[in-house]
Amino acid sequence: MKDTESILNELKKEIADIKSGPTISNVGEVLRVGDGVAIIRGLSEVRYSEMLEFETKEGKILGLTLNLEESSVGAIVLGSTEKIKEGQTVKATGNILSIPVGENLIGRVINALGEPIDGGPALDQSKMKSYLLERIAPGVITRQSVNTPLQTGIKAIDAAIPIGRGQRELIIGDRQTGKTAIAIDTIINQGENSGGTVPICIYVAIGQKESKVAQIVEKLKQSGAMKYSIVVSAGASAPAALQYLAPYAGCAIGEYFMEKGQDALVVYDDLSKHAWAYRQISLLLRRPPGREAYPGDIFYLHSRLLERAAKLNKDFGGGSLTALPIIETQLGDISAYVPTNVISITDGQIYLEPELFYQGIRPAVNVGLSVSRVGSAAQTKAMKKVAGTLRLELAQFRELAAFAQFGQDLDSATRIKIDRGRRLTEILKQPQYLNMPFEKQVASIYVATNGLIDSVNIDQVSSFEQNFLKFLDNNYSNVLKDLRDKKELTEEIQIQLKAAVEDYLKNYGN
Amino acid sequence: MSHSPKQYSQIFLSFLERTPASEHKKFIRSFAELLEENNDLKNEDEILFAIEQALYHHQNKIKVEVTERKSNSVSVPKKIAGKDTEVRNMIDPVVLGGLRIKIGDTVIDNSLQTRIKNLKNALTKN
Repeated sequence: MKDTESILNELKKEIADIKSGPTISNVGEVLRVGDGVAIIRGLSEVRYSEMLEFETKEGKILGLTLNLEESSVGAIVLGSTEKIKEGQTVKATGNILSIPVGENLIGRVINALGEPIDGGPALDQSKMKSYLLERIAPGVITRQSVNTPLQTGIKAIDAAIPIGRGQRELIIGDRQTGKTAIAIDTIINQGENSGGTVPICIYVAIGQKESKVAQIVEKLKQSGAMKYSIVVSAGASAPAALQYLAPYAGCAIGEYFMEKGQDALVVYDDLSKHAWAYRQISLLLRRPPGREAYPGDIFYLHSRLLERAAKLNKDFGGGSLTALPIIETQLGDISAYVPTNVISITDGQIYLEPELFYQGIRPAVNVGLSVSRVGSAAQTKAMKKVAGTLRLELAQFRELAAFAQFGQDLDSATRIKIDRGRRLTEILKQPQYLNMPFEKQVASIYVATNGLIDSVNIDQVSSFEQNFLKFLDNNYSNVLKDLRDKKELTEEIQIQLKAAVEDYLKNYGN
Repeated sequence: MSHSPKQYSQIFLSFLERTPASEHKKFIRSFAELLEENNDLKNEDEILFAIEQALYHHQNKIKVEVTERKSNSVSVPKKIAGKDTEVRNMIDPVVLGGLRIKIGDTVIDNSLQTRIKNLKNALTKN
């Protein structure tokens, strides 16, 4: 217990800090409230997107103005609307919505307003900066083209659809096709296999089941990824207003790290639900509905968010913000309104197919329909070399795959191509949470594309791969080390890899 | 709603101007009947607010609400920002002391109630 004098002194200091003069504020009163929106009259000087304070008996509830009309103001309520009553006073704060950001967010689970929801200690605001939720994306002058890879640890993606730091790559597919799995694998992979500096990973859950978010947080903790991750959660039970704001909050946190010169990765899981939340708010605010009842600015909703992903040039710190938005399609319909919008905004998409998923090809990436428009510039030389052949052979395989069903009467050249394609498909299979460092991916794909495993039975390819990589680790670790350091597939490494396969097949092969 | 509150206020104002003062009572009664006929009494609040705003605007007036604990001791200037003031004095013991003035949408709060509330918030913040 402190002595009385020091307590009194503290109290005096606190009292002196309190504004004791008259307060001047712009006020209005609640006209209608319900379903997360409030219509307010008065507030003649309020600005668009300004924060409001509803004064309830239990304390203050925040609001955000979205509609400025002739005689009233439409606002979304960032809390429970039950406590707000008609006629209550609403104060304009004069501030635009912002959240506190800083290093101490790392490892925490927060809501869209930056308040911790993981039961941990309160955040020390003195070490944090205030960042606006809505900001203008970095301009042309500040940017640089993507040049560093973001290793996902997933062979099919790192080889065929590479992602660079600062890129926006959409993950799209039906429900239960492994979209979140790819995002989480990517976050986990940034720990040891990032192949450079470790980016700060921000996982934004929008309208997800709380149980799913809890599972993800647990998985990130188990794998040690929470040391460099932040989870922003606006679950299915959160008000639509918070679901609408969550991705902007995640993006603001990412921008903080980007502007410090660090790399950041934001996963928006998922933007379909974000669009639904915004549709709900817009309809309740009586904005005119358009196609699929979405409001007219649904494109701008996502474009202004994703445009904030960037790779800054050296003069501006050289940081980057990579965005992995996720879109859930209904029955594989990628030509619906929101999917086409987001496809056109992003720098490519990873398309997941339920058919592939049920055939056991997991990750169920459709390599033909997936593209990465800028990522290849960031690929390492070694990966580029093996991936070129991989993509070509897979394309040829897809063309011939239809014939394969008829079986017998195929000429040998066709049969070889089909067999090669099948083996490549096998090699690209990868279980969840088993991320692979870049050098092992290159080794695997190299042996497959160069026909070194043509003698291995198709159903044994994955077990061969596993054992062979173990064998490399034990007996040829110098090859892997060379690959990792040089990031190039030199003649010498190729010869050693070939020798290693022969050695392995001779000793352990079937 | 057959007409918006804004439309009602415009109708009200234009007819009020054309009606001689002696007929005002009659006009207001028939306006109220019109609202009922149009089934718009459910929006009474909004319509009254719109009419109030329109009247203030039309007469170049501004509403000043002075809330005090006991007596009405404040004198408000005749004009604020070029507009005539229409003072409404209110007595509310909850303010405890000092006073609260509302001019249009702006509130100047120097009441003891708010000061004590601020003090309480600051002391219980941590």
